Amino acid sequence: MFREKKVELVQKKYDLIIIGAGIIGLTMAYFLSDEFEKIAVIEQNQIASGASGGNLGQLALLDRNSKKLLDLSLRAIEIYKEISQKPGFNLELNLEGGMVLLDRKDLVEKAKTLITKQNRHGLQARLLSEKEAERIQPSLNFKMVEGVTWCPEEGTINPLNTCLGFFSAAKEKGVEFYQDTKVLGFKKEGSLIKRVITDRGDFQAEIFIVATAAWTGELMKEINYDLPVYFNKGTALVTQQVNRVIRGAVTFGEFLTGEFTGQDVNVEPGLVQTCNGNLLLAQITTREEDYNFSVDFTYVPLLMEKICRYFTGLKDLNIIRSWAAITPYTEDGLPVFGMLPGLRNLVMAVAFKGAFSIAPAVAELTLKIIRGQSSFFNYREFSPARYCK
Amino acid sequence: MSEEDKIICRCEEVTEKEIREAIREGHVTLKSIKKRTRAGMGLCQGRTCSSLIRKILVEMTGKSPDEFQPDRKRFPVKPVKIRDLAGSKD
Repeated sequence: MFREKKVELVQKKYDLIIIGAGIIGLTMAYFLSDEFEKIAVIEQNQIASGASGGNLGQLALLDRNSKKLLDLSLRAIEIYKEISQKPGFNLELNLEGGMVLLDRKDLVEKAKTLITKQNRHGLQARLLSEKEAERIQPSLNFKMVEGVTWCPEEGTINPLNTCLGFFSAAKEKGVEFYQDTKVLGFKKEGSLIKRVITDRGDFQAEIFIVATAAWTGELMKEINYDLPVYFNKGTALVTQQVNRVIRGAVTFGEFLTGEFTGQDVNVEPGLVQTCNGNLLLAQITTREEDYNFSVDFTYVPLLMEKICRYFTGLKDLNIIRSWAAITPYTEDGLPVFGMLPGLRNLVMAVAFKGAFSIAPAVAELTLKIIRGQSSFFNYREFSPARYCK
Repeated sequence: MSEEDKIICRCEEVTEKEIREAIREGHVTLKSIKKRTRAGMGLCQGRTCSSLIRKILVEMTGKSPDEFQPDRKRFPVKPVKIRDLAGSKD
């Protein structure tokens, strides 16, 4: 059934196999190459061709709805700071803060509760007065919103550069990459995965890491696990390059509360300005049942209208490009990270809401767990076991 | 001016040297070169540079031009202002 695409049949043996070359898989490859001699990364498309190549590069903290997630996200920013000093990593790390627009009174109340909680954990987040908001984000029409949060420790990163940086560094450390190679299933013996079966042959390994984001549900069905990892499609538009008009990442209230997950459609303004000066205008979030990457024009006028309403000064900018990507989510908003019950050598690492905000810290933690310096038990709120009753 | 300094993508000011380096690094599709160098990400979205890059790819890889398909075309076809896209107030 999978004979047609077979270009070269490989039969190789590795210590560790990582499935998925998005930001999670790439950071895993980079960190775990300190521990494993032979690592292969198997990717059905190319490096960062899913959501890791199509996102705002936002490094979020305020929305982290668990202390463990917040701590890992804070650690991720520290790792990005260290790594951006190394040659080959042009991360465009920009820690100038993050803003959330609240256009309903109930969202302001929810934000207040969240801010109080996160302040106890050390974040400097706060609600802004009109004066402060105008100073920090002069292009925002403050009168159009009910409130604005500001988290000064947040920021942005260039997602593509970050992925390519970890990819090159991992390759230099000896990690082998198989792109355009689709995993079709697993060969299981008792409680051990022995091999992954791909359209380019079989790969044997001692340990397997699944970092397949939106494709997880489909893949895990192959070994009879029904994991409720769903996905949304996020659509964004790119403007021409302009002088700096947006500071930090701007997102919307439902992002903070997680309310947009599971809705059929959500259209709210989200903005980031890249180092090159392009504005990324998001976000149209639509619920998807199949893997459809195409940009749907239906909600573009509504998004543009909202951008004009909140950021009137931007209305004459030209849109030059659009993209769409599918991102995974779970119903409780927590990732699926840990061992699958009944299997002794398969680690799940998927559905991190805003994976760039956390990826290198998850990879570093996985290295510690494998070395016995930490345990999945400490992170059992993320355990796939919650779905395998 | 040496050939290597020649600008291939005018919008993003990407030189022939940068394109050739990306190909040597293993970026051998138009999409992958675009992601690595930003060639084709500017105002004109690769109208001129994609055929120039294809020529370099053909020369360096020895493959036929048909093997290098352009990245998929995406909305909008030409730059269009935010206010012209905005829908009527609902």
